[in-house]
Parts: sequence; C-alpha cells; structure tokens
Amino acid sequence: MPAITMNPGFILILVGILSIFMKNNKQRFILSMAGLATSLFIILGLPEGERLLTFVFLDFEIILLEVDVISRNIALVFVIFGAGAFIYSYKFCKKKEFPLVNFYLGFSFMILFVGDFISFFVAWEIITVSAFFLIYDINDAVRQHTAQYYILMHVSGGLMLLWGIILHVTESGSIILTMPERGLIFFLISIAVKLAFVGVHTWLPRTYANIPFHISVILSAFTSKIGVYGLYRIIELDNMLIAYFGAFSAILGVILAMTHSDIRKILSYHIVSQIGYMIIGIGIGSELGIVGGSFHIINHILYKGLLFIMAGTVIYSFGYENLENLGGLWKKVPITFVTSLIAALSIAGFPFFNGYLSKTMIKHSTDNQIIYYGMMIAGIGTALSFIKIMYFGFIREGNNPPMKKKPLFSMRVSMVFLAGIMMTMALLPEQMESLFNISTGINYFSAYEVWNGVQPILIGLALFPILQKTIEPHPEQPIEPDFYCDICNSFIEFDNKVSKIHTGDMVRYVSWVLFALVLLLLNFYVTSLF
Amino acid sequence: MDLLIWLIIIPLFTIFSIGIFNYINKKFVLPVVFTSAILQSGIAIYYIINRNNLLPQLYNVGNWQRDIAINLSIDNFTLVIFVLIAIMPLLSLLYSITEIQRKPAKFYLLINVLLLGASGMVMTADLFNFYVFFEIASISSYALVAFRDEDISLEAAFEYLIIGSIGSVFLLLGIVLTYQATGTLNMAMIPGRMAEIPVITRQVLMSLFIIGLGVKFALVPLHAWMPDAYQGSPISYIVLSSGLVVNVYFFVLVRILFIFFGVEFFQETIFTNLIVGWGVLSMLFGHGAALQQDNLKRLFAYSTIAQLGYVIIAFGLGTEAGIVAGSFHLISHALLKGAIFFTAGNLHKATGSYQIREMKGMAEKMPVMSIIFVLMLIGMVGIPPSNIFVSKWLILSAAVEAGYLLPAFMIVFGSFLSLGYYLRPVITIYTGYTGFPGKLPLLKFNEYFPTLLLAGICLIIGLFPGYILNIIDTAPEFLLEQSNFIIHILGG
Repeated sequence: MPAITMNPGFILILVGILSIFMKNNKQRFILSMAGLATSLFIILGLPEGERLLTFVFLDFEIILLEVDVISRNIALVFVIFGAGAFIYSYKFCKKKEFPLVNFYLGFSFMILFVGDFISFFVAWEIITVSAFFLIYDINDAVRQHTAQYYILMHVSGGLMLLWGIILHVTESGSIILTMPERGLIFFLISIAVKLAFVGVHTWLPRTYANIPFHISVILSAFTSKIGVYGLYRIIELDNMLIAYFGAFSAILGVILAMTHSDIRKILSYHIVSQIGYMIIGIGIGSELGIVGGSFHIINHILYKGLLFIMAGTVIYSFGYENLENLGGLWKKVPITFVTSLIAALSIAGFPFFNGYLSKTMIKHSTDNQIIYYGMMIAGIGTALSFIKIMYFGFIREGNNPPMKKKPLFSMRVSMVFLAGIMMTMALLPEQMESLFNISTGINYFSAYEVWNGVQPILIGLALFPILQKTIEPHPEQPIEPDFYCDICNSFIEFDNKVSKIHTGDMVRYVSWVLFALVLLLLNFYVTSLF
Repeated sequence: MDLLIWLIIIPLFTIFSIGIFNYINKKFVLPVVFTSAILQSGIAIYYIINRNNLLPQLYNVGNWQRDIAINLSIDNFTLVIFVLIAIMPLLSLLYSITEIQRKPAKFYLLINVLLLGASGMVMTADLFNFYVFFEIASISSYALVAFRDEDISLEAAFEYLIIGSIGSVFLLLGIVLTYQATGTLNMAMIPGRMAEIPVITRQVLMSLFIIGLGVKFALVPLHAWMPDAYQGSPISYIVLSSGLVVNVYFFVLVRILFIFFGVEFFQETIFTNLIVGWGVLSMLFGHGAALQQDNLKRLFAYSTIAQLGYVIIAFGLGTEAGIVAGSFHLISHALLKGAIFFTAGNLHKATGSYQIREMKGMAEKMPVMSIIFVLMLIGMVGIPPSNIFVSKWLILSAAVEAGYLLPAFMIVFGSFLSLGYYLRPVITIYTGYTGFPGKLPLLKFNEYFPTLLLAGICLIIGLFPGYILNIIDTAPEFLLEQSNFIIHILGG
C-alpha cells in the first residue's frame, strides 16, 4: 500500500475550505466523509517514530508529523467518531457549521501528530477559535455569553501555554515537544483549562448544555481529550500527585453531576469525572497506566459521544432535556434507549462493555489504595447518575411527553454504528491490546475481574432507592454566574475608574505631562543618590 | 544613486503643485498626488530591495564638510520605518479618495506636509533639522485633526495643539541644552562629547527628550490627546498617524537615546528597568482604558497606546533580540491596525456612526467586512497565524532571555485583557439584526482594496516572518554600536 506521509489534519482543513463553496448540505456531507476516509487511509499508512515534514520557522525546526501508537489510535477513533457525528447531524447542520467543524476536526487531528511546541500551540489556539465560532450564535444572547466565557477561559489557558513554552524555549533552546525544563506549572494550568479539571471546569457544562445538540456532540468528543493528549505528550513524569488530583477530579465530577438534572449537564460533569480516570492513568506513568489512560480516552470519546447523541435525539424528538419533563421514553424511541443503555453501561464500567476494559487496565497499573478506592467511589457515583438518567428519562412512568418528531433515519444509523463499534471493541480485548503494542496478561473475563467490575454498579443500584429523593430532577437555570464572572466584573469596575479620569479637562492633561517630567527627573535624582 | 533626498523633494514639490493645480484645473490634483505617493513608495521599496549594496548611505546636502553639513542618512535601522513608508501613505491616500469629499486638495496638501516631516525626521542626522521636520509634521497633524470642522475635531485639535506644543517646548529645551553642553548639533558628534559632561546633566537631557517625543507617541501619561484626536479625525489620517507618524516619533526617540547616551549608560543608571516598567504601565493602562470605550475609534486609540507599550518594553531591554522584536512589532502592529481602522471605516459607511452600540447587527449587512474585522481583532490578541503572534513570541523570548520575567508575564496578561475588549465590538456586530435604516452601502474598490491588501500582508507576514526579519535583522548594529553610526556619518 503506498503510504502518503502527510499530516491528516491538512486534508480536513482543506475540506473545510472547499466546503465553503458547496451548494447544499448533501454535497458538504459527502465531501466531509471523503475527507475523513482520506485521513483514515493516511493514518493507517503513517510511519511510526520518525520526524517528518520539517521546515524552519524563526530559527526553529517545525515538525509537522511525528506519530506514535497512542496518537495514531486516538486519531483512528477521532475518524470513527467524526464519521458518526457527521452522519448524525448533516441534515440539520447550518451552512457555516460545516467548514467550522472541519477546521475544528482538522486542527484536532493536526495536534495529535505535531512534534514541536510552536505548531502545538498554533493548533491549540485555532481549536479554541473555531470552537468559539461554533458556539457563537447571532440571535441567542445566552450562546453569545457562553461563547465569550469559553474563549476568555481558553485563551487565558492558551496564553499560559505560550508563557510556559517561552520559558522552556529560552531555557533549552529547542522547541521539540518534550517534558518542559522550566515553567511546568504554566503548562499544567493550560492543560487543566483544556481538559476541564475541577476548579477550571466551569466552561464545560456551561457550554455543552447551552449550544445546539449536534454541536455539543462534536465539541464534547474532542476538546477535553485534546487536553488529555497534551498531558500525555508534555508531562512525562510518574507523579502520584497528578494521579491523586485525577482521583479528586473523578469524585468531584460525579458529585456535581448527580446534583443536576439537565441531561447534557449531567453528561458534561461526567466528562470532568471521566477525565479524572485518564489523568490517573497518565499520572501513574507506568506503561500500563498510560495505555489504560489513552485507551480510556478512546472509549470515552465513543460512549460519551453516543450519550450526547442520545441527549440530542431526545431534544430533537421531545423538545425537553430536563429529566423532570421526561419519562417513559423507552417505548417511543427504542433504538435510542438500547444504544444509550449500552453507552451508560460502558461508562459505568460494566463487564463486557468497553469502559470496563480501560478501567480495569488503570486499576491494574497501580496498587495504591487511595487511587483504588477513589476509583471505586467515582464508579459508584457514575453508576448512580446513569441509573438516574435511565430511570427518570426512559423507564419511569412519569410525565409522558408527546413525541414531536420521529428521530431521523441518519440519527439512528449513527447511533447503531457507534454502538456496534463499541461492542466490537469491548469483546475483543486482545486485539485492542495489540493495537497498543502491549500485552498485559489480564484476563478480563475471569470471574474475579468481572466481580470487581460489577461491584460499584451493584452498590450504586443499592444506594439508588435511598438517594432517590435527594437527586430527584429539578428545574435549572441556563447560566449560573460564578467566581470567574466576579473577577471579570471587578476588572470592568477598575477599567471604569481608569477611563473616568479622562475628563477632557486640558489643565488636567497638561499637568500630567508636567507631572511625568517631574517624576522622571526625581527618579534620576533619587537613583543618583545611591 | 542618491535617491534619498527625493523623499524630501517629492512631497515638497507636490505641496506646491497641488496648490497650483487646484487653482488651474482640479482634475490634475489626484494624478499629481498619486504619482508622488507611488514615487515615494518606490524609493522606499528600492532601498529595501537593494539594502545590501546601498546601505548605509549618506547624502550631504550642499557638499559641505561632514561635521557641519546637513546630513541625510539611511542605515539598516531606518529600514524599519521605510517598510511603513512603502506601504502606508499610498493606501491611506487611496482610501481617502472617497472619504474626503470636502476640500480634498487641502487634505492632500496637509498629508504631503506630514509625509515630508516624517521622512525628514527619519533621515536627518542633525538635531537642528530634526527639530524643523518635527515641527512641520506636528503642525500639519494639528491641522489634520481639525480637518473635519466638527466640534469634536476642533476641540481635539486644540487639545493636541496645547499638549503637543508643551512637548515641543521641552524637546527644544533639550536640543538647546545639548548644544550648550556639547557645542554641536551633529548627531554623530554629540555622543563623543556627551560622555564628557556630568551624569546628572545627561539625565536631565534624557528626560527632556523623553517627555518631548513621548507626548507625540502617546506614552502614558502623556497620551491624553490621542483618543480625542482619533475620535475627531478622518480614518485616512488615523491610519497614517498610527501606522507611520507615531512610529516615526518613537523611532527618533530610540535613535536619540541609543546613539547619544549609549546602552552602557542605561545599564549604569538603571534606566532599562525604568523604561521597561514604563512600557508595562503604558500597556496595562491602555488596555485598561480601552475596555470601557463606547466609540470604536477611541477604543483603537487606547489599543494603539497599549501596543506601543509592547514596543517600548522590547526596545527598553536594550538587547539585540529586543530591538529586532520591537521593530517587528512596530511594523506588524502598524499594518494590522491600519487594516482594522480601514475596516472600521468601511463598517461606518453603513451605520454612519462609530458608536459601538449602533453597529448592532452589522454582520448581516456587510458579512465579508465583518468576518475580516473579527478575524483581525482576534489576530490582534496574538492568536496564530496572525503576525502579532510572531511579534509577541519575539518580544516574550527577548524579555525572558534578558531576565525580565515579570514584564514578560505582564505582556501575556495584557493580551488577555485585550481579548476582553476586542470581544465587545465583535459581539455587538454579530448580534441579531433589528432593522436598519437606509439601503446597503456599496463599497468602492478604493475602500475594500486597502483593507484586503493590508490584511493579506499581515497574514503573509504571520506565516512567513522571514520576509520582514531579513529586512530588520541588521537594525541593532546601528543602535547598539554607537561607533557604527558615527563612522557612517563622519567617515572613517
């Protein structure tokens, strides 16, 4: 097979540019799918471990293609999920969204394969900007606010990355993507913002719950995983501290998830929580841990994407997403119910579903008890909140909302497609391991492992009747002001004061000039004294 | 070939011929103006292309001895401004064809006076002629600010006149004291004699030069005229001012400080810290004040103040990397800000107002201009692939290498603040369309062409910064090494 050595991101960026000139959604859809197929072809033929496509920019060597097992596998699942998302949403995507989604995907692909800090930063920032335009809407004040919040948060993270890179590059003189020699904390802050670590996660539920469902499907699958990939690429230390932070994030994420009742908000907080697992895996730093963490990325993209697709379908068909207004859906949308049940079991780590494999790998990579019980608690929380979604949304005979529109055929196709891929992966653990060039020797389907996997779900099931009153659905506000909004407001107040001193009074302005001169002379006088 | 004197002769002749042709037949005014503008750009481009053979070049007016002659010189540092002279005046004049409907001949005349002053200031090598060109440029600027004859322009022009004149007085005082102390006005002879006079005198001279020229490039707190002046004046003038003239004043100050006093002197007197700190102050103040402006022109005036703060930081470092980075930012800011002002002017055609809130829903009227506007504003923050990203990268790495970690971090913080206020016009423009009086304005060629050209140049520089870096990378030689400049002017 002739291999094309090319960063697959460029194909999708090109497709994005071309799709501006297409006439209708069908053409754009076919073009995008062709782009994904081409990238798949390229990814399969990419050579591993070499630094290719290099050129010089500002005395530095830019490396546009450097492939390893993990980035290739993540890229494969990006292709699969990208195809699923396009099939799902092409009927109702707006005209501007096709090029933007393609840019977004293209730079997400690009960042997986670059080998130097400058192009990493470039892709990192353009992902933010294209997501900003996807979130922004001309007629919706809530989305405008959300987009503003999103870009401020991410650009501040991006600037931290720039600062870290500057510190590292001036120290080491090279821009090859490695563990930074100086300014590690700034890299961590930046990555924390991107992967929605607890504390700076606020952009995530706010964004994903307020945008149209098909865009939240796309964004939720990629943005935070890019952050995790960045963590894997940049931070190469086996630091248990990072793993503890991951466990903390996993637990806090599920607790926050359980208190909400918008489906997409619950799912968003679950991203925060699941990211915690990936951080644990990468933080442990052993080969098994890293493979487990990145395998979890892959599984997570699939099942969380499928869950967001489920949320989208529910919104599309019934017009509600608060669990309070839903109930008894399983009879009306059976395919959605079955596929989202598969996804929910996967995310809860139920044996024979794909989340179980990666969770088991992560559990096996350390014998630290804190991590073990942390993952246990997070698992119970996950099980609880998905029992909540499934029970209140699909099973409970509560409000039976009337079905407005039947889910489109393309939506059902994409759900079945993704669920099928997940089940294939779940039942072929050896093949998955060989995809990562690793042989763990874990017997995933032995009674001991299965019992370990089932435990949290059983505990969750047992706890659910007790906690049912506490986590019962309730109405929600789209935007809740938070700490970061307060910071912004205090800036604005300060700036008001600054602009108020410009009164237009000439005497005042002239006195500033004289004042500056006097200060300057005084400064020289004072420094000459010493 | 000694083309450099023509950069002064051509505008001078244009000034007189505009007057004459305006009297004889108004049809000839535009061709004359554009021929002269193209010739000036051509000369600048000629020097940029042939920089390796021609530079440094000295033109001795009247062929007197070099120590008393009127010297015009071009060296590699001058090329920084020549890049702007090659691009900005032509585009600004092109844009003004539709913008200036009333008394166009007067406008072109004043613009040419301004260009004469700017080119003269850049090239002159003695302080006396420098002051002459300085006043020529200043007075034409005052007239141009008042050009629209509206209340706000007249008030702003008066304000600018008063503050600018105070600055000129201090500058003149500085020049007089320099002459008193050293006995010469030749810029190449001053450094040698300057080393002999007492430190405190040198510091006083330095303060006078900084205040005198700082007023002109809006160093905080001497910036107060700038937002008002920009609010009241035509876009073509603003582009020329923020894209060329302000940079020329800054350029001259840098040359005076580096050549007269020398980098070692800065380091001895902790002057580097002062300038870097002042740059940070200027930047934060500009960004801070911009956040609450209701008027687009005022907002970008404050943004210009802030961006010059970055340049001040970079030059204040006093290292080679800092000078290259500062020059690069000077150029890339001038180009991008010019494009932004042109776009703002184009959007203004539809609304008839520069108030941000009245631009609501513009995106549906002028989709292409709006998207360019948004992309440029986001580029201004320093998001790749804009040229500002490259210049911020250069400034940051220069500052970190020189050990100024806190100021460098403040640059990052300032970029974040700037995103905050650039988002306001973006969100207002991209807000639901509520019905808009009047019909869709058609943009003429001379309105969209300068915008697109500048935006394109910015993008190309962002992707291939080598084009500009090749031009300016030898600039530090003539700043850091006083002897290079002295030998160039006085001969071996």
